[in-house]
Amino acid sequence: MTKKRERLEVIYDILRIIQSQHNSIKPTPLLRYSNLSSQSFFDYLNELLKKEFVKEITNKKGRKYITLTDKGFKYLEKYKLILGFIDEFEL
Amino acid sequence: MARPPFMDPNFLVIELIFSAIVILLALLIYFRTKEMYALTKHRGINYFRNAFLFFGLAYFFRFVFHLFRISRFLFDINISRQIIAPASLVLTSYLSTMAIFFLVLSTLWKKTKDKPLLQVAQGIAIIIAVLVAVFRTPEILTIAQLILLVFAVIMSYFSYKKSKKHSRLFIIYILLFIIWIFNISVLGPIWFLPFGLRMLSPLISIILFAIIYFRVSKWTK
Repeated sequence: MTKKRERLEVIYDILRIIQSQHNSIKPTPLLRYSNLSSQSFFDYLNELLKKEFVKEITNKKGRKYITLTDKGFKYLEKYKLILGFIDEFEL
Repeated sequence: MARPPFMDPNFLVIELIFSAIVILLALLIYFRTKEMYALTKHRGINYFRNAFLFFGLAYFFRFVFHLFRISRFLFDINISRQIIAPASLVLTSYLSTMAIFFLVLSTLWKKTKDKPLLQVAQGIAIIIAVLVAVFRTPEILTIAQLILLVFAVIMSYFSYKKSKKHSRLFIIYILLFIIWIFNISVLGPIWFLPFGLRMLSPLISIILFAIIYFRVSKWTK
């Protein structure tokens, strides 16, 4: 059985998906790629919006897109260090 | 009043320098992990940071207590000793007990997610601080924290037996704990200890805090 993903790992995966889609993706494909249940995906998305890791942009046609903010990019950049730190100090 | 030989002003200066280094290292650990906590809001990181913030403050108030306690011998003055010395001792008691609990919680919080351990820790820290305030002596704090040390070692022993995972970090934390208790006890009945031996504990404190600081800075570039 595969191990349940930790919260930090799920956040990293969601942000990585957005980045890999040229930093612009609609919520529905993001939900599909993130491999989460609908409920927990929207919980995470709301958390990321609240923490300003991502933001919602609406284009001229009224379609919603999710993009990374500077804070989101920072998280991706620091993720390996964060994991290393947590592991080193057994947090 | 005649100055006892162990209250040499040189000792106070060295103690001041050593305490300042420990406080600086503890605060550096706290501030270097700020961004990591801001990004993750990870509970373990929060406990870890608080442990070093509280340790830094505890070392500060320990030094204030020591300074005011011996001020009458060193400076022939008596600046609010009746208020400031006991107040610093009470603050030292609360802050250091919480620092120890935060350090223990930083590694145990995942296993005890639903238990209100932080509230229990705060309750114990307040009780110890009240006892110290009533009896106005560092010996109470030494005894209370020795009991906590025994509990921490027993808990860690059972945790080790379960996981079979060897932890070098645990040894550093236990040493930090022991050295802190020694730092407190030198304010009490064994303050007649030889100068060299008294200087050993702040020196070991600096080494332990420096080890932790360098391990932290490796991940917080």
